[in-house]
Amino acid sequence: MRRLPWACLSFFLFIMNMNGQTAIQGFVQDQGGSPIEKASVIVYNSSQSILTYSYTDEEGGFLLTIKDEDINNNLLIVAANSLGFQEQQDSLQLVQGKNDYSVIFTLSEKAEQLKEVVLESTKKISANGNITTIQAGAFTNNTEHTVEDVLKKLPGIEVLDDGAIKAHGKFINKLLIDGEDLFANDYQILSRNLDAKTLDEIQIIDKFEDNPVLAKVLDSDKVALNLNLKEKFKNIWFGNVTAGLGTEERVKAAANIGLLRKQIKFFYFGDYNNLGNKASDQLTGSPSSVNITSAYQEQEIEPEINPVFSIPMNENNFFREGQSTFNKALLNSLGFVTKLTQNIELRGTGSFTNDIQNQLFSSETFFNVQEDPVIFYENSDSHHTNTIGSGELEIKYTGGEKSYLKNLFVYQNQPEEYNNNLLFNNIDIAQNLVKKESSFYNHFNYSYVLSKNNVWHNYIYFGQNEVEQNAVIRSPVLNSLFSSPEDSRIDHSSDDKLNVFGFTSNLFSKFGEFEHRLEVGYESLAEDRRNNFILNTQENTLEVDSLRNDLQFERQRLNLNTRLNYSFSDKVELAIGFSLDHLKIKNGRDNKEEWFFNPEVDLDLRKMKIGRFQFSYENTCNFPESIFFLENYQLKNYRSVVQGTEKIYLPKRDVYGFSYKWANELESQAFTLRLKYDDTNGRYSTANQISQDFILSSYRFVNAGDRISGNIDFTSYFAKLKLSTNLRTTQNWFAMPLKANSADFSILKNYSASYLFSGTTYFDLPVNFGFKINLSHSKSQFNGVMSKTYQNNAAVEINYEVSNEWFASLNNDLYQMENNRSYFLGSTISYQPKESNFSYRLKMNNLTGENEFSTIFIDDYAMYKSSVKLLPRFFLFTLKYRF
Amino acid sequence: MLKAMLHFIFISYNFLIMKQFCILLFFSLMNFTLQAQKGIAYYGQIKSPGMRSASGPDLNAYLVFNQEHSYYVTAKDSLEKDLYDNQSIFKGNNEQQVAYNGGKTTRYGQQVYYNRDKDSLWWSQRFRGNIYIAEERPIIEWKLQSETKEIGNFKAHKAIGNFRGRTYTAWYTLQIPLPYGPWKLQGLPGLILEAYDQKKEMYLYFKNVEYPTTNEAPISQVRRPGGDPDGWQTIQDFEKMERKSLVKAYNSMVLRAEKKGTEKPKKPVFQEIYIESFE
Repeated sequence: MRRLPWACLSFFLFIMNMNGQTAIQGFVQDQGGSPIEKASVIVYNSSQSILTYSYTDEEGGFLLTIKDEDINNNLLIVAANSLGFQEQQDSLQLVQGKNDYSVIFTLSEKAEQLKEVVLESTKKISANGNITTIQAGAFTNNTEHTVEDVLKKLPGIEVLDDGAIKAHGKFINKLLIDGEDLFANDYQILSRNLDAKTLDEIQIIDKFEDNPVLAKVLDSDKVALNLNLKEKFKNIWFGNVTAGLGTEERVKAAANIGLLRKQIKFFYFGDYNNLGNKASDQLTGSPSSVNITSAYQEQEIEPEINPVFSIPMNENNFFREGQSTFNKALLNSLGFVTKLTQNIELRGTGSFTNDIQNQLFSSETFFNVQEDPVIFYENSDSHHTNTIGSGELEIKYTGGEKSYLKNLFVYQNQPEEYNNNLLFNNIDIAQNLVKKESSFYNHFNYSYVLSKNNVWHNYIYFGQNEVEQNAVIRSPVLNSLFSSPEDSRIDHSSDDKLNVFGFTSNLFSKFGEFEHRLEVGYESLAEDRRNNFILNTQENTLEVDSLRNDLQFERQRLNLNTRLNYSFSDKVELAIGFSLDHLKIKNGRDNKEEWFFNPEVDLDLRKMKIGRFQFSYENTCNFPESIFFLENYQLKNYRSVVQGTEKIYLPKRDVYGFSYKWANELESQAFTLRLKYDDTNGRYSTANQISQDFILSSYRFVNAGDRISGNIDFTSYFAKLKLSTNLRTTQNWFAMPLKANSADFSILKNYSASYLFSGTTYFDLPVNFGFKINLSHSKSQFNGVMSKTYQNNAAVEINYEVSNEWFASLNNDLYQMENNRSYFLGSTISYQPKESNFSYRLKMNNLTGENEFSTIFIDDYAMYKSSVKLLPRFFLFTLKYRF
Repeated sequence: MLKAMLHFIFISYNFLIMKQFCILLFFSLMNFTLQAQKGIAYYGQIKSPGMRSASGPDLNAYLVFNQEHSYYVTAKDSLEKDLYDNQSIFKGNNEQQVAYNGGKTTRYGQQVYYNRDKDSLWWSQRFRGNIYIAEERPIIEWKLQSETKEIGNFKAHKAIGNFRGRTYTAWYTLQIPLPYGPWKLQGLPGLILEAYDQKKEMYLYFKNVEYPTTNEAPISQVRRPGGDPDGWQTIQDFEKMERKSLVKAYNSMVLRAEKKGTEKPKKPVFQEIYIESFE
């Protein structure tokens, strides 16, 4: 504040007088009479409350005004202070009628010495740069039922339709509960069922690394979520029950029960429904983001063996969940996690699912073989029982900062039974299949810190997967092939077993901008495939030797792998790697041993003005599967057999990738282009003999096979129209030599394309719309015959938010194929009263009463026309109670 | 005679001037020593926009000051290097990163320079690269409260004031009668030791102070790494940047939802996304 000219000051003081204010002016000087600039001047009232303050100007002057009503006892205390001087106070006894006072302070010098330490300079009160904590209550309005409902409302988190969770743009790696991992990859059981009200805060953990030792050298791209529960839910039982009853005998019953204690946490989830949702689908692991430039992902290698014979259920992926699956689904899952000692944590999950499915299906298959197409007609009625019992036990040991040990044991037992009656080309066929699948795998991880920049990580795994199948088939077609009586019975059994053992040992090093990994690995895989085919006539039992196999397949791989990442700048990152592999394969008739050198290069140019470019190149070797080497024919299904070949080939592949991303400055428009070219110098293809009611296939090695795929995506948001749109296309081309009823291989060319146009409105109204138009078509050319098919789907969704508690939606789906059109109308009305333990929902399914739909698909040289039954119109009322 | 008188007057005058000069020199020197005496206060800064609590990264910060000016810096490489790996929290993906990019440190950090004579602030921060703003000192109308508390041996007084969309509670001490404070908070009768907004999304806390200090940290104008542009932008430019970024964040959320077919995003609120807002 500068000293005012006297005239102004007088005028100012006059105004003060008029406004009931008191002015104090003066100046602050040192003992030598020199003004003290920037000294503080504070006015207190008699009760030591600060009324006003100011700092002196360059001439040491100050002017302060105080409202008369703030003054009590007519006493004011004025204090002046400046660093390096002794504070001085002056009391002002105010006189009635006088509104301006002046005070002069002469401060004496003082050697100022201040040293106050509350915390050390580098000490933190909540240190963690990678954890983002979000208070759940701040974003919710008590209408949320499950954790998933809450997560949908939080910044930085998105939940996809299938329940997969993304945080900060990446699929989450783990969903922890109070820092403990209860469900591993099946986290949706938790997110979709744990009650929203138990949540206190949610933490997004960036750069998450489960393994604290590896975290020292890996620049992790993983993200995890941690749910911290409210204190009152930390030692109690909690959960909810749902009951639903509908027309057409539709029912739903579900229960979630959790026990969370400091020492142990349990969570049980049970569900039963016949609404077209499969129980086994709820136990499939969730996706995780794979970053092409990330140096290393901790692995769980679990190779599986797939049996040759099957009874297809002919399910249709064309429809939404709950439109064409006829089943009764039961799911039970129990998880626990406990700390055995401070350093040892034990986690276990046990699940039991059971799906009982009945599916009706009819189809026509056209085989484009030379002049006369072969046509198969099928009318099928299948009954399928699928039971899965599975368990996981994980033990973790953290031994200080230097070492980390984790062992995971996984066990699964899956008995299945199929009963299938069908009419094939007007011939009655009956099949029954009893399948038993069991597997166990063990994963052992051990990490050790060698030095500040070096970590040694070892992974050892072993396991077994066995599939036993016993099929009984009554097929006049097969009987006539073997010239056996029409009422003969075929017993087809197979026992496929896989054993695997392997290890990898990695040395990670980090120096400045360089990250380096050196890996040595070994894997031994052995498959044993046995099957036999027995013809039972009334008179005798005959084993058909030409349909019997006993295949011993062995694959050993020794591998040295290294990868170096270097960031030139925040715009350019280059990763170069190569692997040296020694591969040894035996199939009982042929041996192959070869060394391979496989290079890979990734270049990432980001934050460029014109967008982001990524280039990648990889050279790999395709490992042949054991099924290619079956010595004799094996039954594939009731109307086809397949045979392998003798010779082992190891074809190489060059894969080139390119992607380009662009967004305009306001990010209201974004464009992505992705291209991939896969050039293989050979592959195993099939030679097929298709007769009027039977197919003989055999694997052959061919020296060709290319694939090109492209994807373009253009998304816009029109702020003025409050409308977002997405225009997308995917294009695929492939060429593959095939043989069908001909002497030579000819090239099968296939082209498929899909186009999507979708939009969503963002009106500031209770009503909003979403629409989607999806057009796809495919074309294949083989033996001079061109087959074409198309399928279109249009959907309109109308959402009406009546209030915070009432919500209604109307879904319209139109499916179209050649000569066929289906229109579905569905609606949901939900009422979620605030702060109530009950919530209500009315679901109306298939209001238009569609009951059948025909589809056409083309596959290699065949075209399938099929007809599927649709779930009927039903109304289902569900009531949920949270406790 | 007249000549002698004039000579005497001249000498006397010179002597007076000399004397005045000497006095002036003495006090200037003293003043200079006072001004040259420098203090340093260490703080912790937790910036967590949109998170409803002080849950963002906890960064070290210091404020160096004398009577004339102060210099505050945080998110500086050298302040964090021993603690944890401080690479950017986000890589590649730009969804809502605007709200969470407080964890990134740079060589010179995020700085605020306050010059009392020029009554202005100069500051730098990360906003898709470094930005440099010069503005007249924003006046915070502090409401002084009678409540006090102890912070170490300091008696701290409470004050409440609004600054760019948020209401801050500040605790200042009269034992250090300077109008400085951490970050851009200033203008109280004593040094601000602790300050936070109602949601604690900006949380500044005191660690220690030393006055006078021999610490070599200079009270300097905002420093820039080579390659950064010269010159200063205005507070209006900053407001435009924030508005644009807000539109951008919303647009990209809408695009993502359209692309993936996920839940429709809610429009972000200015105050919830930014620590400093202009609505």
